[in-house]
Amino acid sequence: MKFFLNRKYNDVTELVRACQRLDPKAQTIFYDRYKSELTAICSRYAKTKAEAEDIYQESFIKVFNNLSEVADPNAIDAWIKSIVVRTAINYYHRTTKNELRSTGPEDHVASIESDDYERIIETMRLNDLRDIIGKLPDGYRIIINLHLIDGYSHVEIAEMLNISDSTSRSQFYRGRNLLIRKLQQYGINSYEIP
Amino acid sequence: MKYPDDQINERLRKALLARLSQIEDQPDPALARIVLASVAPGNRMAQQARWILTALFVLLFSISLYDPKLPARVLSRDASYVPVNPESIYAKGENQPRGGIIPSAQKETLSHRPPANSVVTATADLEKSVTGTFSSSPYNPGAGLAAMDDLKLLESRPAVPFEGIPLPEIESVHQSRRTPALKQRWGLVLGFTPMNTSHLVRINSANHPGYQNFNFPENFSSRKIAWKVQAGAEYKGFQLLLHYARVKQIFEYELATDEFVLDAQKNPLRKGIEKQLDQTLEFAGLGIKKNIDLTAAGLKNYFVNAGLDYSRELTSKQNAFWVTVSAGRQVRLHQNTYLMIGPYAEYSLNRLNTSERGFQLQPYQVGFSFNLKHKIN
Repeated sequence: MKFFLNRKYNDVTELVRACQRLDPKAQTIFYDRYKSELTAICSRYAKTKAEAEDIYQESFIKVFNNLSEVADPNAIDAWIKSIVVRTAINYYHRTTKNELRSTGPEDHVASIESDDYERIIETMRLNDLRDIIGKLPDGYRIIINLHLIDGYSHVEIAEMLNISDSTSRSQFYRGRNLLIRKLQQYGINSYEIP
Repeated sequence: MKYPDDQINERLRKALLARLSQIEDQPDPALARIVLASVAPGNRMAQQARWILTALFVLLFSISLYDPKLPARVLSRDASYVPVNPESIYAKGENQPRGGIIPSAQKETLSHRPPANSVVTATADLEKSVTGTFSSSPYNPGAGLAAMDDLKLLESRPAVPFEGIPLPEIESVHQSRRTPALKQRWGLVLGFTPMNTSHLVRINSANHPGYQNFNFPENFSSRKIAWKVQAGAEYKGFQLLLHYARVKQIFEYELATDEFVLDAQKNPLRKGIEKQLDQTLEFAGLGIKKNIDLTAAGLKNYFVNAGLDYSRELTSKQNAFWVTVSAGRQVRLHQNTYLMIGPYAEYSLNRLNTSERGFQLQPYQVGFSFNLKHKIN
C-alpha cells in the first residue's frame, strides 16, 4: 500500500528511517501524521486545554528526540502512545500532588442498572464529554484513561503510577462510578433544559 | 437491569472510544513551529555550539582567575631583588628590637605594610638595615606585647626626618606585568577568524511567482564555513585593519510551480523545481574598530572590540558594510606581544544580490577570533 503520496516515503518505515536521519521534510510529514492522534490523547489526560498543549509539546519533542531508539518502525504507533501517556503521567507528578482520593459519598453510585450513560455519551457534545472527564480528580482521570480507554492492566498502571494494583483497581472503580454519575447528571440536566 | 462490573466497563469503554474518536483534533499551529524548530538538526547543532561556547567562556574565565605569582627563583637570579616576606619582618620586629628602641624611620617603614602578594625591591642598604636592626631569632608571640610597649614610648619622641634614609621601593606584581602595556600607544595587529556563516533571505516576489522549501545546511556545517584574515595598526585603542574574507553559501530551494499533489492528510502540496545556490564570496576591505582593555576588577585581562567594516565583493563587485563585535581574553605571550582570543560576530548592514535574481541575501557570521597584537613603545 502506498502510505504517503509524497514520492520520497512509501510507507511508515521509510518515514521513520528518514526522521531518524533528521530529514526536515520527513519530520514535517511525521508531525502532520501524528498530530491529531496526540492531541486527542493529551486532551483526555489533561484538565485544561493549556495543560493539554503543554503535554502535547513535551511529548512530541520527546518522540523526535528518542526516535533514533526505535528499532521496529512498524510498532511506532504504540511506541508514540506510550510516550504520550508517560509524559502525561510525569506532568501530573510534577505539577500536582497525589490526588488519589479516599472514598467520599459523592463517589458512589448506588446501583448502575441502566445503560443511560451509553446513550448520553453518544448524544452529548464532544467538548462536554471532555469537560466532564477533565473535571474528574487527577488520580481518577488518569486511571480511567489508562485502564478504560487505553487498555493498560492494573498491574501496568500500578507500576507507572507507583501504587499497588489493588489501589489502582479501587481508584478505577470509584472514578468510573463518579464519571457515570456525572454523565447521568448531565443527561438529567439536558432533558430539563428545553 | 443490573450489569456486572466487567460488562459496565466494556460498554463504557466502547461508548467513550466511539465518541472520542469521531472528531480529529487539530493542535494549535504555533505548536508545530515550536516542536519542529526544537528538533531541527540545525537547532541541535546550535545547542551543541552553545555548550562549546559556554565551555570556552568558562575556560577563559578560569584562566583569568589563575594569576600566578612570579616564581621566587626568577627573582633571586637578580641580585637587586631580595624576596622578603612581610610577615617575617613583623615577627622579627616584635621579637627583639635592638636596644629596646626602634628608629622612627624604621618604624615608619614597618607601618607601611606592603600587600601580601607584592615583592619588595630591596637594595643592599635595605637588606643591611633589616638584618642589622632585627635579629633573626624565631618568631615569639609573647614578645609582641613587650615590643608594643616600646613602640608606645616612641609616640612622644620627635620624628626623625626621612632625608638620607633609603626607603624600599615597593612594586606590585600586577603593576609590573600590566602597566607598561597600557602606556604603549601604538600597536600592530594580525588576526585570523574562522567563522560560520548564515544569512537572511529576502525574496523579491515581483520577479518570480514564488520560491518554497528553502533547505539550509546545518549550523556549523562545512558547507557554510567562512574565514577572515586582517592586519593593521592600532593607536590608543583605535584599530585600522585591512581584511580579506571568504564566505561559502550553499543551500537548496524550489521554484514553485502551478501543479499540486495531495499528501496523506489530503492537503494540497505545491510542486516545485529543485534548485541549489552554491557560491563563494570573496571580500576585501578596510575596517575601523575600537578596542577596549577592560580595567574592572576581575576583568583586567579581558577586552571588548567593536567596529565597522567596508568590504568589496571581488567577483560580483558589490559593496558590503558590516558591524563587527568581539570580546574575549588577552593573553600575554611576550613582553609586548599579546594573543587576543574570543568569540566574534559580524553582521552585514546591506543585502547582497545572488545569481538568482528573485532573492537577496543578508549574511552574518559568528566565529572565534585569534588576533596577535604587538605593542610598540
